[in-house]
Amino acid sequence: MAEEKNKSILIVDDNDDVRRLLTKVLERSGYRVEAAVDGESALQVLESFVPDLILMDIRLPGELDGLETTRRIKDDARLQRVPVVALTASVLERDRHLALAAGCSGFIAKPVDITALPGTVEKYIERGVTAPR
Amino acid sequence: MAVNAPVRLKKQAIGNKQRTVNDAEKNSGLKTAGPEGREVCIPAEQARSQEELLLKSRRLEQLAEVAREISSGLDLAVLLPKVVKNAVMLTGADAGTVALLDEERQEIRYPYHFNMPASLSELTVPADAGLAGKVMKTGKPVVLEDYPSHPAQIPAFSEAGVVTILAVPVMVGNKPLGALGLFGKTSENKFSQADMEMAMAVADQAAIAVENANLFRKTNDQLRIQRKLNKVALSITSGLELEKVLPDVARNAAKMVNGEAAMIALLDESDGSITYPYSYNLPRHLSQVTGTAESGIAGDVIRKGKPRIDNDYAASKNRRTEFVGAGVSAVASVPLMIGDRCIGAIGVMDLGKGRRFTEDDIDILTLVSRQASVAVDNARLYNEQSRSAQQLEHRVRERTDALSRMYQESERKSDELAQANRRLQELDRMKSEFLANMSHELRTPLNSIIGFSKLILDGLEGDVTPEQRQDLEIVHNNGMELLRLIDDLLDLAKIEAGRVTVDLSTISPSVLVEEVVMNMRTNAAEKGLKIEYTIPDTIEPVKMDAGKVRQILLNLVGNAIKFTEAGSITVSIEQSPAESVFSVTDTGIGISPEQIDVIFDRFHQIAPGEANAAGVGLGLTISKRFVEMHNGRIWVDSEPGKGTTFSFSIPRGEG
Repeated sequence: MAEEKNKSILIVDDNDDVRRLLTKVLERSGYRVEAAVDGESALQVLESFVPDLILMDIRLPGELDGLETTRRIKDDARLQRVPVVALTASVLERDRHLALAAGCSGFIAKPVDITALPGTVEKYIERGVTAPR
Repeated sequence: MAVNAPVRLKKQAIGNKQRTVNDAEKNSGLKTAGPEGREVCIPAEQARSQEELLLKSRRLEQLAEVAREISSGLDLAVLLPKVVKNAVMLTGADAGTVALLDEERQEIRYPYHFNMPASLSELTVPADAGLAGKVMKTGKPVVLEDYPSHPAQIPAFSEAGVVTILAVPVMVGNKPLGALGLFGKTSENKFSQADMEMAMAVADQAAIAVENANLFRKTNDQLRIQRKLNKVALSITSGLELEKVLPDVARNAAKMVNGEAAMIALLDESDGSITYPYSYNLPRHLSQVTGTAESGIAGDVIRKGKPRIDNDYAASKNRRTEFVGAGVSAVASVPLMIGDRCIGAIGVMDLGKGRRFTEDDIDILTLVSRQASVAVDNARLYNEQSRSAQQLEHRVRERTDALSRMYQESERKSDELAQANRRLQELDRMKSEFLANMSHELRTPLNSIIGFSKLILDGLEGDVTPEQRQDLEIVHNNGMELLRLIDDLLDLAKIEAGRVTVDLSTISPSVLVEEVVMNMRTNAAEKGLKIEYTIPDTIEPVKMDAGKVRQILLNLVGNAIKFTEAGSITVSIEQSPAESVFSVTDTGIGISPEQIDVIFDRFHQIAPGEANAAGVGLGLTISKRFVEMHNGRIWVDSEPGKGTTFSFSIPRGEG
């Protein structure tokens, strides 16, 4: 197994399978992984925890969808330097634009290529947030 | 008997006189009273015709004025007694008379006489009876010395004591007017040759007097007729409607010839029927009668275009019971002509008063008819003109209506189109929405299928046996296939919606081909296939949308790998001045001719149960669209069992 990276990632997705898959893949790659099932719980988790990266599903149940949750994060001075990467099955141009406009640093389409995912995640963490809002 | 009055008038002179009178008639327009030929229905022409009529009317009145001035000389009642008396004196006769022929009735009367019983004025005899009739017939004088025993003697004369007689005809030219009779009341009072000559001279004088008087009467009659005609003419040329004109014509025609009633018959040229729409002094119901040109007097007149007189109507084989029932006893009919066409007839009727119509009546009616014809023609032309004006107006209105209907229709259609367009846009939006949702909904389970199968294959869950690996690869590959189908579906929807444009740039095709081959090498190697490319050294840059050409090539190479079990895949480029042709050749299973026909249109022609083509997906359809966006073409050459070559061209210069 991969060595401990001392980096943490928050996965926000309402789908149990997705959380399970990504958690397995990223933990195997040495990341500490937290998961939330919707926007509200994500923000709750973030109150006591600042990850190095957030993988954000866009279509979320409840009051806050992924875009709004991302905006809240970006409006939070404490969190705004955490890269948020959209990880969504909404793959149209429009969805990509909306995600970037909401403050996402990147966009990963589902289904996720799990072989490439650890590298992609690492890249986003290294790059950080280039254009904070 | 002494001859002491050498008065002698030559017949020649009488003839001259007559001709002079005829000329005068002609000049005064009596015989040409009606407008000759066909009048043109132009207002200016009508005005001119009316002016001419007025002028003629004035001339006739002047002539009548002159005639009245000399009326004393033309009054037979004054003149003829003098003539008789002179003749008696000149020949030494005891008595005398002038016999006058009534042409109309074919009777002879003796209105003027000298030294005879007054009752002689009341006597009438048939035109062929008596000596007068004989001398009129032969034109030669007769001298008798024993009148009472002559076969042609008339008792009235014998009883008046006539014994000898000298009778001479009163003639104008060859036309007998009457006879001059001179009588001796004793057998001794005989007439000599000289007496005869004297009597003939006097007869000539009488002839002049009678003729002049007749002419005067006729002139007056004609003037009267002309005035009436003018009235008719003026009323009918100014009032153009048949309904107004023809009743007037009927009434005037009746009055002109002293008929009691009259009617107008009109021929309907379309079916040959005859109607009697206008009448004067006839029961109204006769206007409902309809006949044909083959029956009735009007039919006969119309058919032959000639006038006729039926003085015993009830006995005529052409009689109509309706008219007999209305009391018609005699009819004078003339055709109503327009040019050479007979359009109807005018009939003037006697209703049991014993009136007998003559040729003179026909002459007058012909004049009336001629003017009425013009009026009818004018009215018809006027009606036709106003009808065609109405028709024109009607047509204009119809067209206007049609146009406005078309306009409304097109507005309605335009609305409908706009609505349909909105519906289509809405449908399109719904379709896009649907596809986006489908894509999203399918990707989520695919994420699990592809992700977890890959997780195990990558050994993250521990070791897998070769058997398990093979099974998992099937799961994984099918998941990927499904994913590709979803991506293609989205692409195609985007292309169909016209949201895909070509982004042209001039780049080297060899770089592109190398890149694609490099990308696909792993896939080919997994199946043990060789993949290579052949690119000529002389290859030149191509103006194209590199992203789309790459996608086409990836699709073609991907298909080639999929359908080839052994052998190689070759990507090549060839350039001609006109185009660059990219080809992907494999040594695979090939494609049947039936499938070749539809292989680029899978999206539109999905044939159920076509196992061989399964897995091609929408890639070829998208490739075809992309090639077409470059104005190029795509085609396939294949031999089942040996291999397939897909080629597409990008035109040079344009791209």
